[in-house]
Amino acid sequence: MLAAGVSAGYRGVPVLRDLTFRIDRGEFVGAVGPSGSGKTTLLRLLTGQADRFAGDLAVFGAPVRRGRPGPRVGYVPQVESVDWTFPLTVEHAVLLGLTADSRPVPWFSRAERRRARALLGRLGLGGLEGRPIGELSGGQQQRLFLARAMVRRCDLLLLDEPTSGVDLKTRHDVLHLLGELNEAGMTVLLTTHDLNWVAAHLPRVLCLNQTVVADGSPMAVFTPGVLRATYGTDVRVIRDGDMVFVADETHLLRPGSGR
Amino acid sequence: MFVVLRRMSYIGHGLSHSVLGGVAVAIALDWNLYLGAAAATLLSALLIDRVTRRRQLHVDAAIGVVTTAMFALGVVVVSSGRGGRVNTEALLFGNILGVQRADVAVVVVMAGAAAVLVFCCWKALLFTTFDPTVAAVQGVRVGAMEVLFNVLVAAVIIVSVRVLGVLLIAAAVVIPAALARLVARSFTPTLALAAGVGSASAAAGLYVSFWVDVASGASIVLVQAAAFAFVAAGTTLAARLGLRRARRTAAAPADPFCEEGSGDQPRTATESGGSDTAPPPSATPAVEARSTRGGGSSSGTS
Ligand SMILES: Nc1ncnc2c1ncn2[C@@H]1O[C@H](COP(=O)(O)OP(=O)(O)OP(=O)(O)O)[C@@H](O)[C@H]1O
Ligand SMILES: [Mg+2]
Repeated sequence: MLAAGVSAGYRGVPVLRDLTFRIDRGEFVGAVGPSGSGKTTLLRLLTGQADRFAGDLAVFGAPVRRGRPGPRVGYVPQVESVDWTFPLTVEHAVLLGLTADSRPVPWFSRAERRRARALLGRLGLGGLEGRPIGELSGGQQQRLFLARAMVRRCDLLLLDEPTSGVDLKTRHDVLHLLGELNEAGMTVLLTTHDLNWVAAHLPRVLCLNQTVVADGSPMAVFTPGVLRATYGTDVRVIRDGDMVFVADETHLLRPGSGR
Repeated sequence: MFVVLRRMSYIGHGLSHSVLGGVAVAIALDWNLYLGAAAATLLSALLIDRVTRRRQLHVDAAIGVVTTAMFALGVVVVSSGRGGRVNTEALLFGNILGVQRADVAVVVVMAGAAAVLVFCCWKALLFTTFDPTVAAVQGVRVGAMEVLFNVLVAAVIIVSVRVLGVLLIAAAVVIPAALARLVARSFTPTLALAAGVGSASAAAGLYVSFWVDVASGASIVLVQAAAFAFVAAGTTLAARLGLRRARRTAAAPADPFCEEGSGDQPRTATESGGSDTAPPPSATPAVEARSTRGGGSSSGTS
């Protein structure tokens, strides 16, 4: 994935400016930045949903054009405004993710269904396969969409805040699943607000605020200077051996919060 | 079915109005009626699709703009006298007796083509209807599916306008699907039910219209509406009975819960001054009473 001097936004108004970065096949990258910094816009840009005004952008060597998604992508958008009363079961909703690679008949094969069910089990939705989607909790709905993206044997996974509103165990489960897929060669780009989660688990982080403020390993990138440039506020950075923690001032007043 | 799921229920109503425009223009230009109707309906469907996609407009607004314009065009042509041969009443209210052998052939061919297309594009149509954004990103040809959807709707309209008429077609498109949604929870049963209800009510309506000697289109719609009312009342009643049964079963073996509740009680009791009438037991009958009263009154109205 290659961006060179890209400026992009919506209907003539740029949101991202002079964006330059390179993500190689098989990388696992987290994008962070304040609200409105353009994280979602970056993912939209990569999936042909935002306008590009300048610069070059290629995914797997093919230029990205609006309304024309190129390679095999799995995608979980940040705000899902779907009709939850839609008469679909959980399993069927996940299976729809396979549509583009599935045979042109109205049903899904047994292998496909087995795959969907295994994935639902891994995401803690085992036993809910036959439920109507409207009967899931908010967090379960989000995992349903994660499953719909992951069920595809794709080359690139784009996840917009997959860990927001998700409990601790699910967060671990999601991370393990993503790790496995990444091991198997899938490129993963996700956005999150959880800096410590990024610092603890991801090999590479992209700090965004209209443009790429910093890019590298969390150890190298998470410095007070970079974080101030990204977020526009002072942040404490705690280093302990090969670990780095980010905290804001109030937390430091509480004893034992250094964890 | 897809029409109802896309909250485009009135597209049938709208598109059938553009049929009038198409037929009137076709007669004025001395074209084939089917051709005129098909062209007008398809044009309207695609225009609606365009308007909705490009601008920040909802489908209902787009339907309103495009199809009333086509209808107005038809009215202008008819009133100018050039479309004099149009049987306006048959067009508006439908007339099964006007159906000829050639019409039946057209219907059969179109239905066959539609069935094949829907069969092949089933998953893509469904994904596009449910979540177009993600469908597009995950490799579904959403644009093509939108066009296919519109063509199919247009085809249904053209085929059924002969029997149902411009003013009544919306019912045929919407009622069976709406009814099915009341009952079924997952997609395939919903669809099967919608198709079944559609055909059965059409047959029943025609039967009634033949024996009682009233307009065919209107009878079909009335039969469908009656079925809908029946099912709506039935599901409401069933839901209420189910709720009551659930409440009774929850109340009967609920001793462990009650004990748990009384285990929690001392705190609230002491906080509220230690009165003997503890809140939980008195609260439950109140809820029960309110709901039964509500149940009685609304089942009376429905
Ligand atoms: N559809 C849109 N049309 C016009 N402007 C938009 C649109 N979507 C987002 N924006 C603008 O683009 C900017 C970046 O938005 P974006 O959604 O990319 O932020 P974000 O980094 O994902 O924020 P958050 O962390 O809150 O999700 C914001 O200023 C927003 O107002
Ligand atoms: Mg966002």
